[in-house]
Amino acid sequence: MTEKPSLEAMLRDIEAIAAQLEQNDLSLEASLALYQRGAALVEESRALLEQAQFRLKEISGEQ
Amino acid sequence: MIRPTPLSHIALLVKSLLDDHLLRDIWVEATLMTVSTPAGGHWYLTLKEGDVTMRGACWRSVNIRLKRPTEGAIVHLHGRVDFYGARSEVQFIIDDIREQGTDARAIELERLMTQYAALTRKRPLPPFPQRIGIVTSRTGAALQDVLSTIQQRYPCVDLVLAHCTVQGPSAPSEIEAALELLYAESIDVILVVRGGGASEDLIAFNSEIVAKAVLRSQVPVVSGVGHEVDTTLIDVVADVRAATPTYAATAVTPNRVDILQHLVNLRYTMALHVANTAAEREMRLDDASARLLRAAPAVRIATLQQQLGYASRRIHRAMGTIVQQRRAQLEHQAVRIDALDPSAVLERGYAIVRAADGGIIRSGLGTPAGTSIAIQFSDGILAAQTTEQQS
Repeated sequence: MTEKPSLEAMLRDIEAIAAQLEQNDLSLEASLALYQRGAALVEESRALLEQAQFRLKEISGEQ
Repeated sequence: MIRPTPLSHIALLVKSLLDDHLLRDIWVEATLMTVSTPAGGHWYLTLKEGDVTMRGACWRSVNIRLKRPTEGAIVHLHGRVDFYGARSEVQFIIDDIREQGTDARAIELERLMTQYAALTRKRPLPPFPQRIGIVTSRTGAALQDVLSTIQQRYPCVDLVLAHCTVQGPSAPSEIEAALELLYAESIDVILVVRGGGASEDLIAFNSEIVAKAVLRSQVPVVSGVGHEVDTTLIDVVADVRAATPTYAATAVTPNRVDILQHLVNLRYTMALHVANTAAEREMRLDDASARLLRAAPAVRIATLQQQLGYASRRIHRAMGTIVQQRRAQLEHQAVRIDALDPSAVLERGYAIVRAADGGIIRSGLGTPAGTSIAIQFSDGILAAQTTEQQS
């Protein structure tokens, strides 16, 4: 659809990571790697959400 | 000095001015634009004739003997004009209603609504839209309501405005064209909004052209037309009907404060799970290291040393015993040697040669010829003389 990373997809990934970590059947190294990926996605999502202003474009059939 | 007149005095004054016989006990004709019958039992109507609208009220004590009129009905109403101070509203207090017929347009709208209600899809809205299409007038208050709501709730979106006029004869086809423009775009959800106005002003949103255009949408459409009380055909076909433009904007956007909180929670949960995993691994590590330590070389060496010490003590004790046994044997043999009697040897055929002085001659050498000797046998001594000296 659009070039921006989808917040929906990121939230889905973060929730999946949290669920995987909850299983507690990974090695500590794998858990840490997963956590780091989750934390990075949280930061990315937060940055996206903190965008200050919507972008508005007007389209018309007149041109 | 100014002495302000209390509003309540003005309200009383207006009320008394309206208390005129011309405004009491009269019949009026009107179309019922709205008929509201809340739980209290009173009826509240919107009367309309030409450009004039007036609120009407029919109290429960009166309306229990009347037939409830329908919206769009053309009626003759009997009653009086009153002033409702709390809202500074002139209203018609009704004590009789006689239906004269029905507004054909209202009847037709009713039919369309029933027909189109069957076609509505009521699809779920995307929880996190990225591009939102807006169909409205670029100069209307509705657009400002939508923009400020989105700015406040979820400004991380792209908005695409398709302008159209929202009232007047060209409005239905302009709304349709605006929708079609958005259908060509990549859009997650579409808002069709217009601020409140008289029912006449909302007529474009009752048109079949608009309803059909909405039903062609591949993405969900949210309508927010007029005030909360207004229901138009587009509300029936839209996937979600919002009461006002502001509600429509609220319906299509999550609140980013909620999502940020959700993210904080998720991050905490993830960190907690990792910490739990680490703690659990640490416990397992402690356990394993205790087991490993038991099998470690240092411990084994110490164990072997202990075993060695034990063995060496055993050997030492055994050696002591053997030495003692040997000593005992030797002592026993010495006893036996001491016990040997030389006479026993003489009895076996041996003899002892002695010199004259009684000393034993142990060698044939060095004894001159003619030396007197004594030969001792077991049973006696023989005196003799040597005849030659050996050299």
